[in-house]
Amino acid sequence: MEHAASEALPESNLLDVFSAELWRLKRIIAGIGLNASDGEDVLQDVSIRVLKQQRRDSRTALLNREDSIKWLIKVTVNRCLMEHRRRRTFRRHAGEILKRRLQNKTASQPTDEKAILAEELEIVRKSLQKLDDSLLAPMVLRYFCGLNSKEVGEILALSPSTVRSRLREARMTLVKGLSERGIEP
Amino acid sequence: MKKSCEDIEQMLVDYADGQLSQSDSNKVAEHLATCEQCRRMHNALQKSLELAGVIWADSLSETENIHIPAAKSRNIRWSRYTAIAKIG
Repeated sequence: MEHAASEALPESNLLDVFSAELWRLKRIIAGIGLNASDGEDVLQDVSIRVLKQQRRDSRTALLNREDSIKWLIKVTVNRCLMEHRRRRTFRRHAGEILKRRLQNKTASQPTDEKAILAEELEIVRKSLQKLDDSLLAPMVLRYFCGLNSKEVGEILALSPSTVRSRLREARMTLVKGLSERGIEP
Repeated sequence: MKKSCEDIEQMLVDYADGQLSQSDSNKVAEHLATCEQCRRMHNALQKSLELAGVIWADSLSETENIHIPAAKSRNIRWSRYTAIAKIG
């Protein structure tokens, strides 16, 4: 994480850290596959936890900046996974994703290539949707939020070797989905 | 699948992530240079992650627009949550 490790914060600044780290929390929400409405609910709940934690910290030890960020990520991941279990995530189908993606590109792609890409995207989307919480969270934090295995382990209370083995399992699950449909790179 | 391929498959994700020691990484690279099947698996790992990246990026284009009111000018909904937090 790109922050000074032991920079102490004044007690009133947990909310500031929350505001500064919103970009990262929104990436987590997107990575877990929640839509904007569910994402807003998540952020509101996290903000409540921030306010409560801030009051608690004023009576006890303060969190430093790095710990504050890890705490925010942990709370956000847990809250997102609740939604992931409760609702269908990654609701936007591959055709729609592709349409939006291609709108931003000037060069048009041949129809058969588009069809193959749409099929592959749909398979991976469904694999992500079905991925167990224990695999999805490390996957998102490692590959979409850019944290390393040690940081992911600290946030999810896992050893780095457990994080590595879960990442292996998650990655193999995505590959399996593609190869079961006879799709090869 | 040869025994050595099974061993290599176990290391492919770590290899792709740059998590292997130099000697293990060299071992995997040497194997990939000669084994078509493992090379395909390695490519599939890369490709599936790229596809996941496309899905995540699309999802982010939606969540990036979530409006979070500034701390000093919360709207009614946020004020309600803040009040609850203070009680709790």
